[in-house]
Amino acid sequence: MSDQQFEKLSALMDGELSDRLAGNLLDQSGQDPEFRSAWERYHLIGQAMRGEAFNPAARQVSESVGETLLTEPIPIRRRASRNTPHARLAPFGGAALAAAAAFLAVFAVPNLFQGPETEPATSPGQPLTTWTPVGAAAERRWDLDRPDLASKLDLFLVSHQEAAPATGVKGILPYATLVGYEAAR
Amino acid sequence: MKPPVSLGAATLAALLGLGTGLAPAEEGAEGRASGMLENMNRALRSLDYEGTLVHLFDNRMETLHLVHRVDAGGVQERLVSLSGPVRAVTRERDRVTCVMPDGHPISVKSHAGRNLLRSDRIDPAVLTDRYQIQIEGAARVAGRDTDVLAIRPRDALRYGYRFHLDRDTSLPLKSDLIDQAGEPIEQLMFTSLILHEDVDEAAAQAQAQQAPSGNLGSEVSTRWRFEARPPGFEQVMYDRIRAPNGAEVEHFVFSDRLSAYSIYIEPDASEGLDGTTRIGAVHAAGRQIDGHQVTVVGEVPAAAVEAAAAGVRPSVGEPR
Repeated sequence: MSDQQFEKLSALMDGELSDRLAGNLLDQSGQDPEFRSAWERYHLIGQAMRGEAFNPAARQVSESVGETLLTEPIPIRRRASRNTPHARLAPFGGAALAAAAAFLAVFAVPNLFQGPETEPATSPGQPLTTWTPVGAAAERRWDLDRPDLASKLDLFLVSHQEAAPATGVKGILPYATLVGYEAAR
Repeated sequence: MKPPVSLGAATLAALLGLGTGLAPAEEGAEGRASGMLENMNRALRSLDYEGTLVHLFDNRMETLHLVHRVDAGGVQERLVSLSGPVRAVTRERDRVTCVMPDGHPISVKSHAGRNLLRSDRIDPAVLTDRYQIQIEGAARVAGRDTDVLAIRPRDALRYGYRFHLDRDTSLPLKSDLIDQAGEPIEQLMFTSLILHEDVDEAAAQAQAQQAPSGNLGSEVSTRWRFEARPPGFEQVMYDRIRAPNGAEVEHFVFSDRLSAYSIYIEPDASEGLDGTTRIGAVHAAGRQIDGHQVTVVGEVPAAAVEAAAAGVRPSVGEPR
């Protein structure tokens, strides 16, 4: 997607895109996985800016949009642009929005899970319930069908990377495995 | 690319101030490689930058966004996936936090001060037994000129790195994880880069003071022995962490000064890994021994974690 398309998507979510432009945007980008991903992230931004708890259903918004586009293209386009909650994202450019999603993900969310020591966020008292079911069914990390064991291996890997020598000079590469790796989906 | 310039024992000798007997051109190459690594270390400790990266692995590609900031308190990094489910890692001075797609965020406190080898620099002088350091010429990355430096492993029990270092800033614009043949296993490359400010000498100095080069630590006496380890790996850290089920887990870190793996030993053997698995280039091996679960994790080949797991033995006569 181009920066211009990201900006149009932002305007669409704010209800500020004309019906004609909204239709064109959805026609051009509706089948684009990047478009769906951006759509999903912008919803996350909106939820975060409004102080709403994380809604796992938002993770499937892009899929819903894609399915709807296949069956009812025209009417749903207009409804989508009008019913989308106003997150007031228009002042940002498309690229900035993507970056904003990133910052929100790492600046805002991790603060919810700070612990005194090495600590998976499954310990009592942590607000896990709003985060749990996200993509578990679609993910098959570590080639395992046991999410509990995969999570434990994630914890072991993060603890290892933090403790291993020369981690700093390798830059972020050791962590790219965690962030960049997504199991077949 | 130009033909690789191979460095070996002469590098160590040169860094120790010994005569090498090599031609001036070769000595110049050694000094240049050492300087390139030092400049990269310095750039990573002193520059603020952010950019978009692509992560290539298993013939797949993911797009990531990185923010890297330096202040007197240390390096802060934030890495976020821009494609697929939201995944993010943030490294603060004293903590690493990960938000994973399965909804189990992880927060790990830094081991700074407890790990004698918690160094943020690569010392070529101590790597030459297990790695070959080569200057591999020049290439262009993200529209910028880079020099290519490879740290290639001498055997199949560890991985090495190939860095494409920006000629202006010495930042690694492309980092490859490579095998013994020099073939890339994973690649991380900037497609765009924004430098926020010039070198912060004060921050660099502060970082340097916080990053001791370190010596190998003596092994901590525990109830476990580690036999038949992959050659060159020595224990550098011992700690205890909490598993998701609340159980206390013993954590041992072994390193050859560049590559590393961790051995985790849990008292409950019912829920652990049995066999070998991997995520990207990171391998894990698990087995049960004496009612305990042993799990080895590291960015090393499968053979290394398997050998490490197989070598764990309870110490005879030690209290359990």
